[in-house]
Amino acid sequence: MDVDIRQNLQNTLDTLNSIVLGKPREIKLALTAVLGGGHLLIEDLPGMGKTTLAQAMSKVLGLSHQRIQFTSDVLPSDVLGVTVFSQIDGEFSFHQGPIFCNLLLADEINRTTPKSQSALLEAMEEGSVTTEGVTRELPDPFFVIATQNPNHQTGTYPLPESQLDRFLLRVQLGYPDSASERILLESGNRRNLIASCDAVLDGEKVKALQHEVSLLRVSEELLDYLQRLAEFTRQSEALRYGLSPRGVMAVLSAAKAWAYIAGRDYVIPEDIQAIFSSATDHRLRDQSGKTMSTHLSIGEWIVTQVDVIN
Amino acid sequence: MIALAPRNALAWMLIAQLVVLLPQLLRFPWWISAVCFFCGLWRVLIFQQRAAYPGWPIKGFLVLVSLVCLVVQWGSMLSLEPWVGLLLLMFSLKLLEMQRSGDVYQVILLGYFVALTHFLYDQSFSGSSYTFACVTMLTASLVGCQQVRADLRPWLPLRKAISLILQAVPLMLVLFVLFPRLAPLWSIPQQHSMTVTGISDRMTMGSISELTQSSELAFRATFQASLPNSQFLYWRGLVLTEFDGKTWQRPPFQPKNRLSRPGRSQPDWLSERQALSEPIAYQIMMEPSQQQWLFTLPMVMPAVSSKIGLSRDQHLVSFEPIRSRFRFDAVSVLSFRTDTGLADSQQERYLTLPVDGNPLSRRFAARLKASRSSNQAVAQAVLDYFREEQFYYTLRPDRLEGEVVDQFLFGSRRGFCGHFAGSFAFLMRAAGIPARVVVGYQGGEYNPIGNYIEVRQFDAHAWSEIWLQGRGWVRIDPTAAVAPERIEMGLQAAMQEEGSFLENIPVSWLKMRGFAWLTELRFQISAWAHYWNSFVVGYDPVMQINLLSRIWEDIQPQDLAHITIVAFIGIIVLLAIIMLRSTNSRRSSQMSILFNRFAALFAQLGYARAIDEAPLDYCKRLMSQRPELAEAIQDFSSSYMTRCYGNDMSISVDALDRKINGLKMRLLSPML
Repeated sequence: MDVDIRQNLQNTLDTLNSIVLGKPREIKLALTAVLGGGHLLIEDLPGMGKTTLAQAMSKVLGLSHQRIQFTSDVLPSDVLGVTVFSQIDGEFSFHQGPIFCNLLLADEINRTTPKSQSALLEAMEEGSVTTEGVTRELPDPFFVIATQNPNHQTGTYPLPESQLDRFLLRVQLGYPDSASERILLESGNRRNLIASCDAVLDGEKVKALQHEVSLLRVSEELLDYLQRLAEFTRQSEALRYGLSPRGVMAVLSAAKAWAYIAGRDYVIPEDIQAIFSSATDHRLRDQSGKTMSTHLSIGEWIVTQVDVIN
Repeated sequence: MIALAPRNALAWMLIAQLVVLLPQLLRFPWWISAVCFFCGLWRVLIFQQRAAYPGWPIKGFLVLVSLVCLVVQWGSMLSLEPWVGLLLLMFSLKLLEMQRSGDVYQVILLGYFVALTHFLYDQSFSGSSYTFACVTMLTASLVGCQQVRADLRPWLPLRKAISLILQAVPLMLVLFVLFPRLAPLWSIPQQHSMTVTGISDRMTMGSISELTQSSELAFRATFQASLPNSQFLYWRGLVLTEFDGKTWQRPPFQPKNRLSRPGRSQPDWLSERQALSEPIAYQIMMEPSQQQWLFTLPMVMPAVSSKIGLSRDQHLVSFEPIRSRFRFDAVSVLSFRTDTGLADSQQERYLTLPVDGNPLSRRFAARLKASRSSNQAVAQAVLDYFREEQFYYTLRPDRLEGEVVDQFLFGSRRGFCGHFAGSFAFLMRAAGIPARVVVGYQGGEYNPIGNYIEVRQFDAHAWSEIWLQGRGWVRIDPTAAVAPERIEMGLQAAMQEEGSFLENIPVSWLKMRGFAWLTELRFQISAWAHYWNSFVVGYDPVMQINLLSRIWEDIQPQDLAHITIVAFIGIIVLLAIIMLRSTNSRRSSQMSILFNRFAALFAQLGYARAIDEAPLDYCKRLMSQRPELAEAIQDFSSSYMTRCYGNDMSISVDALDRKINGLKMRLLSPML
């Protein structure tokens, strides 16, 4: 493993930790999503630092970034771009929307209508945008960091399962601990810090990191364990439906990225356990309330039910 | 049916039905086949929606006609055939009202019964295998009915059925070996189709010739020690003493000639026998002949079995006709003397001839008697006459009418064993020498693979015995004088030139002796059939107790039920465990086994691994709880993780094993 690139990774984490206080695990998960080549969904109540984390990441990763604040009147053309008639040239030309960037910050994605949501989510899956019969490739790498409010909040259009499935990981930030909150209170607005910090990585480096992650070794035993987990979600009567193959692949990519961040060149069951809840909670539905009684999320509960060693 | 069971289930069912019916259709009259195919065809047309189900008048008519036909065919319903026929007909007719899924199950279950009826006609290995295949096919059609519409894989039912049947095989074997044997079920019903086969109890000149054209098996004889020479292989069946000028017959019963039965007082005549050599023991497995006589080498000892008696004429008789394959042990003495002191009244019986007829022969006998000094010389003179004059041994003799002995001896001079034996005995009696005709088999083919002699119907033979003063009854085979190769090498060799061996059977294994490998194959198949008959079909209560008493000493028949139940439950539990293991837990990998060993070590100390505790986390916990072992645990865990998850093959399984053993030693001896 390249020492430089390792150092860069550590610096990235350090910088992010200095901006978003007391959330090292969530920051690592966010970076995992990027290295695993997937999109990230940050879900929490307003004011918990979702946007701060997303902005900090876009800055530190050194990628071209855009931000869309989704509201109920955002139209697909506001996201993808629009074809306008230029009076100077005397012809139609395409004006790229904010989606044409490396890192798109989609704020409060569930406040907009399904039509605009799907415009974004289709671009996320395909890596390209098709308007008026012309397909335009999005830049590479391309990530979406979306934030959303919990669905029970007013003025939300919940994302359907099929669209939630497109996010590699879903991260919940939660309240900060008291020490971090004290520092926050003492030092004032974190947004200024973001403006002052430097980019640690860039597009090429991110791509190189993603490549390194994909080369990580995965043993038969690990795949056995992963398949046992998947099998359990499909057999269990507590769950409404099981994990899709895409979901299982997401778990593996995330686990690889997690292992990479931990400095290993192979994946161990602990990696899967660490990201399992973030990778599956938004893909599964509890139907019996079994997980509620244990105060665990669905993913955490599944991990407790499946033997690591066969 | 169409609404409830998938369509390829119907296909499977029709195939299974055809397979099950086929052997029976070949045995039964043609019109039963016609009804079966008619029903099958109609059912296929319904399946293709080109015909409708018949209404009740048509169905009622068909049933009625079938019943009438059955009665007309067999006259009454009192034998086995009409009932089997009824089953076949109903099995086919049921197709026409197979509308609901319940009907389908009825048809399939009826199919199992039809398959069972195969055993009434054929218990051979090939027949049993066929029935086994039928049962598999029926099970496949049962499986087919359970298929989900969305998942119709045509071969799946058969695969499932085969695996089900294979699982049933151990249970079948247990039941076969252990289940208490009841009286033989198959021989109870009287069967029309069973005709009397083999040697008959009367010999008209020419009657044995039909037998010589049959290659059917008569019996197999297994010798305990070495085989007797082929010239001793005279299998005596019946002794014919009464001659009416044309036909030789059995003597009428006389009280003082009663049978020697085991467990009864011995008749007087038994003491007049003298054995001059060592006895030889053998076992005969006789095919059903529907007759009572058994075939043994002379001189046979009284049988041990309570089903067999020894007759005055020195041959064994079964008290029941041989309706199914019959096995008995016999002991014979090849060198012997019997009836050395034959009473005059008895001698008279063996000299009786019709008052007149065959004058030429009588004159010829008288002439010989006058010119020869002893009875033996007279017999020798007749044999010489057979040998020197133009007598031919042939399976295509001329038809004889009227004075048959005269015609044969001085006219046609062409005949086979019956002619020679019959006329020889006639000449002897005419010359005043007590004589009789013996019918049975001569020779047989030795099977080196099964180590037995196989005697077929074409080995049927007739010869004579004459009584000589001081020597008792002496066997004289006039055929040997005319055609010695018949005795030494068998019928086929004797008929080589004439080409009349099995001439009515165009293709026969037995004619292809030129091909060594074919003969080898024929021996193999015959030996296998013999083993099957001896150990599977012939597995009777006696054999069962003998076999089981090798495992459990002094076993009683009533213990069998208990053993059966225990073995049965044992096998079911075993199968259940195998099935549970194969579905619920996948096979553990080598690495998992290793880690489980490691975890088991610490579980004993109270540090059991939680199921969701991954290896590294677990090791870390152990290290914090047993700091004194931290180094060793760390050593194991890092090696294990690198090997198991890092796929680093430079760390061998043995090395990991040693590390676990090292930890074990340290845990067991805390002093270190």
